[in-house]
Amino acid sequence: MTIPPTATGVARALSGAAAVLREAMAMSRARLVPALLIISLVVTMTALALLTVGRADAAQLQVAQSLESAGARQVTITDTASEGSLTPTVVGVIGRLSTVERAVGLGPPTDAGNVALGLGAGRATSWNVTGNVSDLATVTAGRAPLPGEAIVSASAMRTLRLARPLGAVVTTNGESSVPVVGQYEAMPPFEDYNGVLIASDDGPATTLVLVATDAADSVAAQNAALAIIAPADISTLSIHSPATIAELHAQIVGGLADYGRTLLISILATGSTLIAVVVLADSLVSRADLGRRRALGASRGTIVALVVARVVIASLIGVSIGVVGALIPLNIATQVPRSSFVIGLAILTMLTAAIAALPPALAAAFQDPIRILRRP
Amino acid sequence: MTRAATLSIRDLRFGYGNGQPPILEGLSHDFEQGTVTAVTGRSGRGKSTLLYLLGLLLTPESGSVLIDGDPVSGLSDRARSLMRASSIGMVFQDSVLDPTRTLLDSVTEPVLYAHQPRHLRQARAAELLDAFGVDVPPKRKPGQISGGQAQRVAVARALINDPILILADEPTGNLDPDNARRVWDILNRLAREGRTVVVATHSPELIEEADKVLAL
Repeated sequence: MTIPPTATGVARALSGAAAVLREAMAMSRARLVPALLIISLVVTMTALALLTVGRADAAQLQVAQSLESAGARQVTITDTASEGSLTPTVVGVIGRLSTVERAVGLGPPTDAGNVALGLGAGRATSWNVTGNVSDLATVTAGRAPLPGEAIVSASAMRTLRLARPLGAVVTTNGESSVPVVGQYEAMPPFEDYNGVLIASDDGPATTLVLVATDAADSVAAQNAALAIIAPADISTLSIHSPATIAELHAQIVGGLADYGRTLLISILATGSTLIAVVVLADSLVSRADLGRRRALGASRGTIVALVVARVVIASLIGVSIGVVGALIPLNIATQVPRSSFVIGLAILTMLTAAIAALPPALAAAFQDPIRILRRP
Repeated sequence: MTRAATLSIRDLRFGYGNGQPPILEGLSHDFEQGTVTAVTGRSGRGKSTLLYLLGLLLTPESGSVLIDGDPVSGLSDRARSLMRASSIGMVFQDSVLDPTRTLLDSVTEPVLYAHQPRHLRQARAAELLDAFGVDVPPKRKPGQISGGQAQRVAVARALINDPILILADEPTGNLDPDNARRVWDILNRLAREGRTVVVATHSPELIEEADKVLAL
């Protein structure tokens, strides 16, 4: 079988790289002190970066996660003057906006009692819900209510003495008997709406609650919702928005990122300078060794490859020890940075060490072997 | 069969700068295949410099080094290095062995620079050590053998890639007469096998026994 020339070339290059790596390993074993110094420096760089910048990354992640919680994405618009602007149509259109995950209209809270026992036997809070009830609650028993029907929470069932989510309730706002068709559990961020939810398709809501698709979209969602509501007088609406919180969180995240970036650059710059000094000193001490190699046929490129490969091997060991050493305390403190951050940092540290080794490696490659070999 | 080549220099000029006159100027010579040429002259006349020029470790200011008629001194560092590793065997005044490696590893070192698999030459290295009478375990390190043995290890190292040229710079300078004789005999044997051998030396005995003499 004939091996294509390209395959032969690749195989030769790989074999050459493997031979250089083997030689670099043998050189490292023969001169342990510089190898151990580089390993120590890389361990320190990696561990320091993980314990400081890595912790900042973990904190940034926690802030970002809290920013993305449903509560932080909630915008509440209340028709304080009861102008009737939050109609079922308006709620439906807002719910279909691309920046809105879900939207429901809610009427003012009223008391509800078990029809069979009367209001005096126990009262639960009830709300008329405009829009899709499933955007607010998960039905856990029975079925979702149709307009004019109600579902009850577990706590409301106890208050109303309902053994099962069946029967009827009466409200204090004068509505006649409303059939109960199921039990529900409120979804975040509607955990406070525990009681009786009555599906409604007529009459405007007094409060619109929308959940934006993500925190960054909450302001856009709010603006779009206001444009759809189009109130004659904006002062008739009361708006509770997470925009300020989102801005503050963004500032904190940005601040943490700036701090981390500056710190990481400082750590890598200091570490790489020290590595360059160690490699340069080692090259000067090993002048005879490098001169002999040149005289025996090592090209300048081979000398550079050998010097850099030694640093890369030592860095690989140093990064492994540094990562394991730093992740143990970070794990105990439950501030483990993302795995992508750890992998990225490991690669960056090794790359920095290799680049730091380049100038002294070039200096070693351009040393005059004759001066080393000549004897008077 | 041993590879062979003709080695020539034409109008070679070289100086170490610093305002000093060139150490070699207008030098031309043909080093014949299958012979030992002794390069001789007083200290500072450029014997070692000529060897380093022939070994492509130095680049002449003008003129050229030719192997089989092809100028090689102007090639790139990579090409000259590869040629030095695969076609030129160099022996220095000191054995210049890696003190941290075994004798076997020392002998196979140029194989790495010739981009060949080093482990495939272990048997050849052992053969060479045996042929040159280095009768110590090949796993020993250079610090554990005598100067004469170390120099013979250096000759074995120079031959590991089966070079066409052997360049030796005062190879017997640090050896006692017995060991000097053994190394000289080896170099003569290499020339008889068809290689071109160039030796820089002060030794009158060696100069007298050389096939050709180039006086600087």
